[in-house]
Formats: sequence, structure tokens, C-alpha cells
Amino acid sequence: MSHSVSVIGVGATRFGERDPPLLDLAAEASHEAIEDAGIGRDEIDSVIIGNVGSAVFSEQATLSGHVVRGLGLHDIPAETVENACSSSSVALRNACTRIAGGAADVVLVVGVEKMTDASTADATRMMSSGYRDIERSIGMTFPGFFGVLMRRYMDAYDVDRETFAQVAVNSHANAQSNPIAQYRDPVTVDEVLNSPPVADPLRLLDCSPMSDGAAAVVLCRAERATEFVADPIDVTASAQTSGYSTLAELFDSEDPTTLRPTVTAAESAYKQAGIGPDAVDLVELHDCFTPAAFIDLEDLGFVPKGTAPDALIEGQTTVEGKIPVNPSGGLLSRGHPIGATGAAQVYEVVKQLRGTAPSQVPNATRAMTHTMGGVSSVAVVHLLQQRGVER
Amino acid sequence: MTDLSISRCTECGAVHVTEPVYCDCGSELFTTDRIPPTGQIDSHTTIHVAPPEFEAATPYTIAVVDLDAGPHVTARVTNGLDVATGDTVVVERRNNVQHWVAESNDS
Repeated sequence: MSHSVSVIGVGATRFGERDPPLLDLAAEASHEAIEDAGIGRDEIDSVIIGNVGSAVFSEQATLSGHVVRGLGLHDIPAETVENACSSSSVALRNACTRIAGGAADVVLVVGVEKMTDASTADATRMMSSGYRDIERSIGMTFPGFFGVLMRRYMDAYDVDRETFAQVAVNSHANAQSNPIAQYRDPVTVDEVLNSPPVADPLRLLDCSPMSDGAAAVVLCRAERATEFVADPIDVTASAQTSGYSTLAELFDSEDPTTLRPTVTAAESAYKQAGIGPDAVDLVELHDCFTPAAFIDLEDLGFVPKGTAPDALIEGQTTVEGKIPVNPSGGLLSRGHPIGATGAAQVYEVVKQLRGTAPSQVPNATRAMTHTMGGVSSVAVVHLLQQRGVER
Repeated sequence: MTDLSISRCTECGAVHVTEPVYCDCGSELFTTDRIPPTGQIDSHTTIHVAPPEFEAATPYTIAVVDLDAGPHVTARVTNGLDVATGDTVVVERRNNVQHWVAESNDS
């Protein structure tokens, strides 16, 4: 037994440094998604939360129980998924498999994180806990992971520093019209290059910010979707793979600028949907740091290895380009409340596929979302499309 | 210069810096082996924003070292920030915690 899955409602809070408590952010996004779906809350069979660090960042755990009670619900399965920066992407995938297997018809996924209550140093430590002891104990940080990859990428493909800065410039430009984005002011290449160093060669504006925020998605068995909405968005692929345990192990691989979990998740997703990268009209990818935007675009199959900087310079990744990347502003500018990001990507692409996005890609019918977490320890890819589009 | 201790799979010979339950080949049998601690820097970063316990040490450099004996290790570079890709280093393991320290030969 296998049912197809649709998205019938999305909601999100504004991202940034936010005053409301974690659970209020989760409630706000959930309420908007339920209203957007037009369902009675008693239609919800199951709730899955994506979150990474609430016990540390906010001294608040057992989120699932609190969110369910906040919705006035009882007696339904609910849980929290932690899978680094892919947490709510995995929550979405679990919702898909739960619906596909017949265990639920309607599932609410809520991604939420509140990071700014912690100091930058404490938040850096929290995120460093994603490293194995052998690398954490020497003082490795998450920006450090992409600092190492950035230098390697620059050496391998002879890319200059300014080209990476242009990624941040473009993402800030895209975020200007996005009402939920954390950074809505434009930046220049010089501002990126002169921002404070974080993990050389990465500068502050090469890095996604510390963010608070929540995003929610209501998923439904596809056959029932039109009971609730006129324009469901169908999920045509949901793929998740695991990868490395250490940075050193990634460097043992043939090419450390290729993140294998992303490659294998994308291959699986294309196979499930029966399409190739050329059929995808836009992608929300995991640009946690500027070099990740290049690496992802290549690993997802949109451009050959080493050519993503050229694609960027040629304008292929703009909203009007051949493969629009992160019209929302992405992690770099929309913000990256780590547990919320996967759900926030689906929030964006659902708006794109409905034709109601703030930075609308013309004629968008099929979209991809992609997150990765840890030291390329996990990757998740989803493909979504308008109902009625040929597969 | 002290040799580094690693685990080697008795079936396929793969080298592991930390011993897994199973090797990728499926074997559960490993021997502890000693390898020379020398290698070249494959890539590196200088950390400016660090967790609280490392803040006093900033800025510090972390390198991925391609050991001459095969595997890569991630290591703190202890003697300065001026390393470059390709530099030869000696990797030292200090304390019982998994703590690698690379000391550049050429400074």
C-alpha cells in the first residue's frame, strides 16, 4: 500500500531575532498553516516537529507534547526529529512515509528554532556538538567545516574570493521582497569581503545568521487533498541519505568538494519523480555558507562540477535565470533557525508553485528543496509540483 | 616524533582513525597499527569565532592533513597561522582524548 502525498497548507513566522518564546513561534506558524489548508484542527492525525537545540538554546524540550496541546489536541502521535540542519526536512519525509504507508491522512510538520537567546559563543558550542569528539575536542566549528571546503574549492577550481561574496550579494537581493526574511537590506561584494572573519576564508556575511523562527506544513494523502484545497501541491519525491562522520573522512573520499549524501539523495529523488534536473524550475538549496551554494548546485546535478561559479556569474541562478536558486533569500538571508529551515524551504516553494511568492519565478511548475546537516552527515531532497503537471 | 596509533581492518586493510563496529567491507576484525605521523596539509581554516572554551585561543588554525600512510586527520596547528596547502606537517596525538596537533616542519 502506498499513497501519494500533497501539501495543502503552509505557514511561517518572520525570521530574525524574535521576542516571542519558542513555543509561541511554533504556534504562530502552525496556526497559519492550518488556516491556509482550511482544515479543522481535528483532521490532524499526527504532528512531527523538527528541532535541533531547544533544550540548550531555550531550556525547553519535549516540544511535540507542548505543540499538540497548544493546538488543543489529544491522543495523536507526535514527536520531535533531530537531524542537524535537516531536522524539519526529515520531519517532512517522515510525514510522507507515514501518509504513504496509510498510518495517517493529514500530518502537521513544524520546524522551529530559537537561537538568539544564547551568546554567539554558546551557540557555536551547541552547533559544534554535531562534530565527533575527535574533531570537536580540537576546537573545530561549523563555519570551520565550510572554511576548509571553501579553500579546497578555491584551489581545485581556481575561483576568486569575490565570486563567493557574490553569492551573498544575490541572496540578499532576493530576500529584499521576502516579508519573513531576516536580512532585507542589500549588501555589496566589498561589504562581504570586509565583514569580520569567522573561519578564514569565510567572513561573517558568507555565513547564515543566528536566527529565530518557525515554519509549518500541512501534508495530506493526495486523493483527499481537494477535499480541503483547490490547488494542492503534490510531493513527487522524498529522499534522505546519510553520509560522513568526520571532516577527515570526507577528505578520504575521491573528491571532498562533492558531498556524497546530496548526490545520492538527488539521484533518488529524480528517480522517484521520473524527471531530471532540467525539469526543475527552481531550487531552494542549503546555502548555509557561500561555498555551499556552489557545491550544492553541482551535487544536485544542475551544473557540472566546478562550474557553479560560472553559472552564478552568467546570471543562471537569478529569479529570471535558467535555474533560479533560493528566491526566498535562502539560509544566508532569509535566515537559518536550523530546525525550521527545511519546512521554510517548502513554505517558499509552495508559494512559488501557487504563483504567489514575493520574488516569483516565472511559470514555476516544479521545484526542489534540499538540506544537509552535520559534516555532510545527512542530506534530504524533496521534489514538489503543481497538480496536473505531466510527470 | 611518535608514531600514530590507528585501527587497520584485517580483511581489506582499510585504515580507521577511530575504530568502527564494522569496516565498510563488513569485517569486525581490526588490529592496532602504528603509522608515521607525517603528512601534507590538504586544506585549512583559521577559526576566529569559537566555543567559550576555545575563545582565548583564537585565532587558531585547523588543518585537514593527508597522512603519508593513507588516511586524513583533522588537526590543530600549534605553531602559528602561516600554513599553506601542501605544507609538510608532523601530527602529534596528545592526552587520551582524541586530540591531534599538527606541528609544521618548516618554521
